[in-house]
Amino acid sequence: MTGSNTQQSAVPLRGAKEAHATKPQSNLSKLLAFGAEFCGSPAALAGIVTLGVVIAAAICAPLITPQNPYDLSTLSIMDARLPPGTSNFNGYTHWLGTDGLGRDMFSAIVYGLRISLTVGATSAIFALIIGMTMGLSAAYVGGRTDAAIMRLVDLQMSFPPILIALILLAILGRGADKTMIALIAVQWAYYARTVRASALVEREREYIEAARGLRLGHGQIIFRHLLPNCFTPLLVVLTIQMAHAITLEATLSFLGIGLPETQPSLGLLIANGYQYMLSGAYWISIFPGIALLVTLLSINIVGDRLRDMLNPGLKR
Amino acid sequence: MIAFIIQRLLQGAGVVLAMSVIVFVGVFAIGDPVELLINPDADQLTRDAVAHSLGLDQPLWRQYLIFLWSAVHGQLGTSFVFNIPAIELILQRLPATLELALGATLLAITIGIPLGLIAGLFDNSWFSRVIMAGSIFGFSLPTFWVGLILILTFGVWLGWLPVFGRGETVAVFGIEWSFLTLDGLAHLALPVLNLALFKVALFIRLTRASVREIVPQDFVRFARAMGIHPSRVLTRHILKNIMIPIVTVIGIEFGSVVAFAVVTESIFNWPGMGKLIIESINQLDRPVIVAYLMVIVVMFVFINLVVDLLYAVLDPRVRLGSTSR
Amino acid sequence: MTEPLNTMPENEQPVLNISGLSTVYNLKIGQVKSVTDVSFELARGEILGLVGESGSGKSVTGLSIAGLITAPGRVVSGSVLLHGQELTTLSENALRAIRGNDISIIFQDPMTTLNPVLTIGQQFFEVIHAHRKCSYSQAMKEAETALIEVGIPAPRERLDNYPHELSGGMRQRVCIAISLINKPSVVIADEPTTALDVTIQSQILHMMQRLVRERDVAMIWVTHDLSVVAGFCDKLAVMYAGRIVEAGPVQQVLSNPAHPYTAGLMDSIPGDCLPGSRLEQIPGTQPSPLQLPSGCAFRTRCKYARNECAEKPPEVAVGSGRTAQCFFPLTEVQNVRRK
Repeated sequence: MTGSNTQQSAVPLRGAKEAHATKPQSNLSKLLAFGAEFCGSPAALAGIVTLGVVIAAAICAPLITPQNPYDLSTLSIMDARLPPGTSNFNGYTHWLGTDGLGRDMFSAIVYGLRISLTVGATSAIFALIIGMTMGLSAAYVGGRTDAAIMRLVDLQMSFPPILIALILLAILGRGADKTMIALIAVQWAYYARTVRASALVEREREYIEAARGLRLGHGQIIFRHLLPNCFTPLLVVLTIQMAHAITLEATLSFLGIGLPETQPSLGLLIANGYQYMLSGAYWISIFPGIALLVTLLSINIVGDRLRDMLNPGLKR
Repeated sequence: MIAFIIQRLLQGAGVVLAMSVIVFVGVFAIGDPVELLINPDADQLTRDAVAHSLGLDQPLWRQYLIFLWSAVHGQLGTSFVFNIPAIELILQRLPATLELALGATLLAITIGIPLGLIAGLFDNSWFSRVIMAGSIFGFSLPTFWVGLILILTFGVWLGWLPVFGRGETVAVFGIEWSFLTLDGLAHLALPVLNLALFKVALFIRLTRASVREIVPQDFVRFARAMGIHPSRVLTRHILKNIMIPIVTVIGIEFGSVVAFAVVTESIFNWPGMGKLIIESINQLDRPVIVAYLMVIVVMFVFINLVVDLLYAVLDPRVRLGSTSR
Repeated sequence: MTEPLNTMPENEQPVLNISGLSTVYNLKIGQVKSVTDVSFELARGEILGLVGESGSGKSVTGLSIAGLITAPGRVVSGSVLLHGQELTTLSENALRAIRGNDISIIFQDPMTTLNPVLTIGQQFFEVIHAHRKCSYSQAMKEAETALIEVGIPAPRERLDNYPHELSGGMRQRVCIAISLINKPSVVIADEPTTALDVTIQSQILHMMQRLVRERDVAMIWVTHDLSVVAGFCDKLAVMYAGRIVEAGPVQQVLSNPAHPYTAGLMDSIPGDCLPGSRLEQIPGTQPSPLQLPSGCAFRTRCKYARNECAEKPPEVAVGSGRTAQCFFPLTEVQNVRRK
């Protein structure tokens, strides 16, 4: 059903929808139905499968890579900058070539992916927890607490994330922990705003009234009753923010102010390849970039599909 | 109207003040302010003299006031890499960044809005799907990596366009601009394209979402039912409504483009303030960092003010002065 | 009612002649027959009340007549004759010249029908300009006159207002004035008073009635509210599940309904029953438009239904100018007993 016809065709449909809704459903079958609907779009199916492969590869990195890229003893400078598909001294074929230190690019990418995903996911989840708590408190307590928190959110969101991250890293310096702090600081506001918006709606519902009437503790009301009902929009924001966190980390690392050299995420790999690119060794930069792109693309496609299905009324 | 502007300016001043506290605490109190302001090679005597002249023996709040006082007078320290006042350094680099950001914003609008309109109006057609798929792609491409690909493709393999630096400039009112020369334009092309790509995707999505929100509304159906020509419905009824959110976002995104120029400038060696800030961070040239941040904050406050005013002008439902939105 | 009902002068053709009109929506989950085989005619100065529950196809009928059905909907058969001219086969351009000019529509919700970012004057100009060459100042003069006619005080100032500066009742008057600005001969009003307060509703009804009589406009008044129809319309057509189940002069149909559905609708009007007595209601709910019962769609809820009703019911004449699609139309005796 699309565009201009929603209004007209919604009316004759009402009967059909009601009939459908009366069927009792268990949680499992609901989940299955959701999964089936999700995979109804071929792009979304491809997205989630790709994402699964990417995550699996990152987790199983030591098992599927021919070389540990951190183990300097296995590296030979003789193998440096081999183009894709060349075999090295030991007869092993580097399908994606090698970098300036003779590191197998495939191994480096899979390990880099691991670092990128870890940093991205960790910061996204921490930001989720912080933002969720702030948003819920703002909505539940209301009044001045609400005003203060939302003022902070507004202030922060009026500046682009990369700028805030830049400021923080300029103050804090380079490092994995500092990068994560910057990413969390950049993202929490999005969760806070989302959760507050849905919590404000839920707060007015009867069941919260009932819970208050029963003199349940505030914590119990917030986490047992309010939170589960605000979770759907959070899920969408989490997916989209995860992609943003990974991009931002890669960008900061590329600029040389994010992760240190000892933790070569995809962004650092690309930065390292940059210096060789003009001399023709394109693969050192291009392949990590493609890995990054595939990861982001699959997350974004999944996020887009989730948003379309759950439609929590997000503007962007 | 005037009350509204004054109110907004006061709010903006508040934001600048808040940011100055953060920057002060972050850069001055955590780091060593003496190191910040003088050459690291200076001897102890000079250090003490500087420490005293800065009032470092004073309590923190007085130090902040001193910092604020000199900031108001345009003194944010001297860059010890370039040995000129930091604020002057930033302002020198500002036109290059503005040129880049304006170019990218314009490009993003001219490509993104028409494509978004098409995608929104012809929702189920194959080209709308192609546009939307392209926009997810554009959304997912990391800016810095696209920059590398552009350099590789147009600079290295095809050799069509220059990939480094700003090219020939012409002085207008004492400011150097590169878009007025052919060479300058050639140098602008790739960085602008690079910076615009992400925003193109954003404008496509925003425009499409707005169109899809407006088209099913009663007043559009009423306009059609009154026999108004579809092109007129589009320009007078649909476009006029979607321009409100779009203009607002254009303003906000311009600020974001200025910030994102950091990445593009670093890749294309563009001598703007973004490249300068990254270099300054790497060289610990803190006066320049502080100056950059203060300039950016003021710029953002100004952009937000302009956006608010535009919003009020465009949307008759917004009454100036009465809201504290 | 000042004029005798349903008496057209012999030589005058009906302005609007609808016959066998059917509209379907092809949705993913199946085909919805929104309007099926609808026929009626309308003369100048006549008001037809098109009554039914939501989803009965009454609004879609209005949109089909004006050629405003868009995909996935489609008018599949039937004819719409306006002054003897067939509209269903016209090109989109030719239809557009008629819409807002000779056939006009008034929508339900005045709060959303006007464009929020154009002034009232500009919205008048849009509609006038779409159909004839006219300077802006000339259009404003016309608009001012039109606003006076719909009872808006200080019309000149109103023209510079934006919709949000007007009240709901005021906005609906503006919508009506805009709809009538090009002097249409047919107006389709889709529940234009439903969203308004009762007092404003009756003011607007009176004003509409006066305008229709003065200007000799034929009007289709789409509504779910039988009580509005009673004092306002000349003719009545009751729709159920996409079909007109009963049609005829208002007073006769209401005083002596022939179709059990019409009778059921009348019984559920609160005003008609004694204080304290139980309000009647039609048992069950409307059938899903995807799975309509065979034959008479109402038979699953009809207390008079018999086996024959599974066949397509005949259209029977139940009085002068009155028809009902029913095997067993109610008789006067049954109606007396019903009360």
